[in-house]
Amino acid sequence: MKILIIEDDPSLLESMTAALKKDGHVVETASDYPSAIDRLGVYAYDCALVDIMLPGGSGLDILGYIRENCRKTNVIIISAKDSLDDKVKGLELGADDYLPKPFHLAELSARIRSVYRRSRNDGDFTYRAGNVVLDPDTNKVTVDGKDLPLLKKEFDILAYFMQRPGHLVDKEVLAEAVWGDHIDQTDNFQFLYAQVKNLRKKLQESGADIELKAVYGFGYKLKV
Amino acid sequence: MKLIYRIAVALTAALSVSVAVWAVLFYFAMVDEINDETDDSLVEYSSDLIRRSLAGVAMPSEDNGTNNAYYIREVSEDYAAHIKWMRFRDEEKFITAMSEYESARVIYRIFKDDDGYRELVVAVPTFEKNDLKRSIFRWMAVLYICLMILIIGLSLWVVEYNMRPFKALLKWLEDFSPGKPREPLPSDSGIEEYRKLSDVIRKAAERLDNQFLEQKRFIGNASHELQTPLASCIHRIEMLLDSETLTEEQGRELVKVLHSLNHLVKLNRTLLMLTRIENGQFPDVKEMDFSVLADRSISMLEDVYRHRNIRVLKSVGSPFVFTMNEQLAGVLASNLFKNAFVHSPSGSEIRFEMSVSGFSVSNPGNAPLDREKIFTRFYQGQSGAEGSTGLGLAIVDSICRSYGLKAEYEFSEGRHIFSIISVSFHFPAPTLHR
Repeated sequence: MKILIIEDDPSLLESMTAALKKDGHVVETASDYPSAIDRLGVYAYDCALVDIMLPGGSGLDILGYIRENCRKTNVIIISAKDSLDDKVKGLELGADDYLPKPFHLAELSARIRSVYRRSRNDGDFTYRAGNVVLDPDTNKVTVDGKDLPLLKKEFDILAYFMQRPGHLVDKEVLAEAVWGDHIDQTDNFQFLYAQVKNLRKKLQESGADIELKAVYGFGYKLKV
Repeated sequence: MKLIYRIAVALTAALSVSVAVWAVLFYFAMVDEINDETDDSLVEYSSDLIRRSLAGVAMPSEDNGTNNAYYIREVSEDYAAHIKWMRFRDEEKFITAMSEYESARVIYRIFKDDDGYRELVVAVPTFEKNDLKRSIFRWMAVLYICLMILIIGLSLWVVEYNMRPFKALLKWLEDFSPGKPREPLPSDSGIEEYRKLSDVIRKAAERLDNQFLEQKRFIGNASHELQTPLASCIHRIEMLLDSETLTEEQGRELVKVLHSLNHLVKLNRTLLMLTRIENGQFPDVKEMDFSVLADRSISMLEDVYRHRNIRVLKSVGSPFVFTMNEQLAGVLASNLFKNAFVHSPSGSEIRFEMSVSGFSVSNPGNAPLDREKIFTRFYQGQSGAEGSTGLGLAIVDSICRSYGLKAEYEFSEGRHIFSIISVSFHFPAPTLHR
């Protein structure tokens, strides 16, 4: 995918660029309003990541420009202001998603993937990794074409990883995603370990060639 | 003590002393005046008697209708030489005309006739001193009471009347809370001091308002500004963790850094949320059924804290329904339950009670927490659970205040009880301003 990152903080711009390149995307950058408009006027992008607060103009104006001139470009708003107003305004103006700062690279990658999938319009909304296929619409998982019955939480965990293949996922972030927004403050992740353990066992028994790898007691990574 | 009572007490004390002193002075002045008059007539009468006695004219009879009594006795020359020739005394004398002892003014006069020195004693019944004292005391008491009623009544009225602007200022100050909308400060008093006071208060209030807004803005801006560098830090560490050349030891260290960063992110997000609640940036409201929200929180937390084996004892009378922002209602319920779960020892029991006017969540504890501080930011009780931001209950309180709900804490029978009570059943829209 060809992605334009419009962000004024050089350090963040650099890390996002590196991460997205690693994901196999073609990345270009702009760090202020005029240069962003220049680039958008010349090149076509599959996706633009737009910071709202920019020198020389608002990211929302860029969003307006994109919606008028580059209909095929997906837009993900990135904002330090995690406020409903910005989010609503952004989505009303035609943004495809809204990502509040600070975000994890895995999250960025997942959002880009999901926006892209939605825009493809070819009817295939399944996630694939190795020989595993996960369909979020029917809540079904197959391994080599055979059904793999999973419990609700196991399914949610697997879905979360399949949306972020190869990315390190913090167990706290995973817990928040699967159990709810306000799960912080817990000092014991037994509930998570138990579910992951069961999921791993089921994947292994069914002959899946993907693996949930634990990383330094910090989280997991889906390895194909 | 109310100013008005203080004034009354001071007036009463001052009046008591001055009226008492006045009564004493008045008594002596009276006595003096009466004695003076009596003495004049005694002198005249005794002179007449002496003249008669010296002239050998018949003396008036004892029973002459004047109530006077007199007698003349012989005295020695020595006595006459050593005593004043005319003396007055107050004595109890037997007045023959009245056949009883009476308070009398008595004059003693020495005179000399051919046979030697004689002393004339004339007694005239006069006023009863005790009667006079009693009478004066009685009338003073009447005067005192009348004066008291009049003066205190008048001054109370004057004070009360003139204190009205002051009271209005006080009331305004009581209702004052920085950063909140309010009535204009009453400043239409004709009294200069009050106008000055009102001026000073208005300036102080404006200063407080500005400081409050400044501080709020600062927290909001600081939190926003932190987001970008935080994101950048997190990304770099995540990329390092992905690197193939990383040793396990380095990885573990990096994970610790990442944990601290995540804590920082959480703190920052929570502070921003507080600022947004206080700025009224959650305008959409709908009817929220807290029994549903509570069930959702409980089932999630029971899952998470299964290893601690904590039971939840529910007693839901009728569901508590309140019109508020959906997200905030969720945060309110989950923060309260999370607090209870986090601070409950393993195997203990959380109690959840609900009625139509509110609900309460309680968990066992050893000692009461500081009621004043429990809902303030960064207050950690004795336990100081790991990963806790110390902001959960501050958010609960902030949400409650913005909707006119009351968040209360009490410690009873070894349990920390947190209650959310709707102050009135007439639910107003949030009174926050933007």
